Amino acid sequence: MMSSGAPPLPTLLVIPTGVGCVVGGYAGDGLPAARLLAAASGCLITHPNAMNAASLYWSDPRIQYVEGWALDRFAAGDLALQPVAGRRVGLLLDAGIEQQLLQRHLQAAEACRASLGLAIGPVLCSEAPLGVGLSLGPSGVSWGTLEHPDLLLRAGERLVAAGATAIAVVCRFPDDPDSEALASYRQGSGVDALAGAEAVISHLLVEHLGIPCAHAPALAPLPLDPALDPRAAAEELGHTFLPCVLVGLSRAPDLIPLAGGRPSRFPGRPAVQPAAFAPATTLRADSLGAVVAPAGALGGEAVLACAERGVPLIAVTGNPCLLQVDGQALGLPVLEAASYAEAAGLVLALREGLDPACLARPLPPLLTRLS
Amino acid sequence: MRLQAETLWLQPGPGPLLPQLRAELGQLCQRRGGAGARPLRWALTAAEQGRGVRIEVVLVLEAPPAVTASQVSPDTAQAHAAETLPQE
Repeated sequence: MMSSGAPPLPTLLVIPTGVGCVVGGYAGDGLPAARLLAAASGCLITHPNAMNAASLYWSDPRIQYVEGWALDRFAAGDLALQPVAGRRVGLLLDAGIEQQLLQRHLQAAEACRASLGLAIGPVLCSEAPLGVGLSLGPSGVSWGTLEHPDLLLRAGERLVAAGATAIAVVCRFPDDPDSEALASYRQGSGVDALAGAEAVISHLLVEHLGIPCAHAPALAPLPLDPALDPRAAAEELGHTFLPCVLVGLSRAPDLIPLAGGRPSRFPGRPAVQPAAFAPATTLRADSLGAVVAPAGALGGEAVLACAERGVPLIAVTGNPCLLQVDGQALGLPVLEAASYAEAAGLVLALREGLDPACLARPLPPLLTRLS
Repeated sequence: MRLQAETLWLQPGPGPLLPQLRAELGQLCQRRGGAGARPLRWALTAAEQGRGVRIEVVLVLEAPPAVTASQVSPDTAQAHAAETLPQE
């Protein structure tokens, strides 16, 4: 149904992290939507929150896995994306992780080498515990911070110097197994309290190093919850959340600073003139044909940058979240979709050159009266 | 280097919103940390008829001393509230 003879329509899928989205706000439960949109568009650019399902993952050459800070910069026209066949993923482990839990993470990485053939390494620990802190913003969305960001960046620099071209980072997160927030999340009605801090960690690394990075939290195992929501189940399968990150990063695209965009801080990476790229292989913001986001969460940089450039914005009303920052509130024109299935239909229509308005009824006449 | 969470409201003027948000965040960084300060992660988390849009942001600050919200007067007419989020 979704195969198309038309050229791919590069499409951006944004499911913001830590805002309680009913689709994609849990353990990689945005992945089916991402797969469908990849099939409809032929080329989907999305971020780890939409793809990461702890021990579960899906690798699709039509999907570009781009960390959130880089995704914003890409959408704003500051970066281009160059797909790659594969890359070496360095593993950065927080010194705050206990020995046994550390060993579990190393074994997860070994499994990805032995069973999937991924190029992983080198591995190193931060010089001291990084000190993850969790909090909620005034809106109730999850935020977080890091006590020692400098140690994180220094460890990242050492990994790059040792040959890593992407970094999977694992930080020790605070355990709070008896909290109401965690119980709500596991039962499918809360916000992912870890997500905000995870985003901060990966944003710091990508901004500083200019290579793909993504984060998996290290946590003690939780007691069995018989009322576990299916959307949270992927995080209960194993001892780590690391495999999906390693798989995602193993084919994440290169991040290329563009001349004329906001300057990057990437070390030793001069900006490239946009005209220097072969359009068939390099993805740039001006090649985007659609952006898909939850209808109430349109206030992020990537979505605003696309919408203000006139990229069709598909707002999924069937993915409510804590926020109500919608097209009407921001004065943005949107194509509403009740579900990701409908959004995929709209993407396919755009890819085929169909005007989505022609698919709705009633179909108003071009002229209501002749003047 | 340190991280600081902030929230502020902006009453947008006419025209595209994103350049106004970037300018407002740039001014916030100047007030909080000066050179090297920058927004690491931000999003609009509310939009209200009378107050405009609420921005929640995590800043990267190079300078160690923190400036509290009460010491800062928003230096644009559009920014009519700024407060520091609860510390983690």
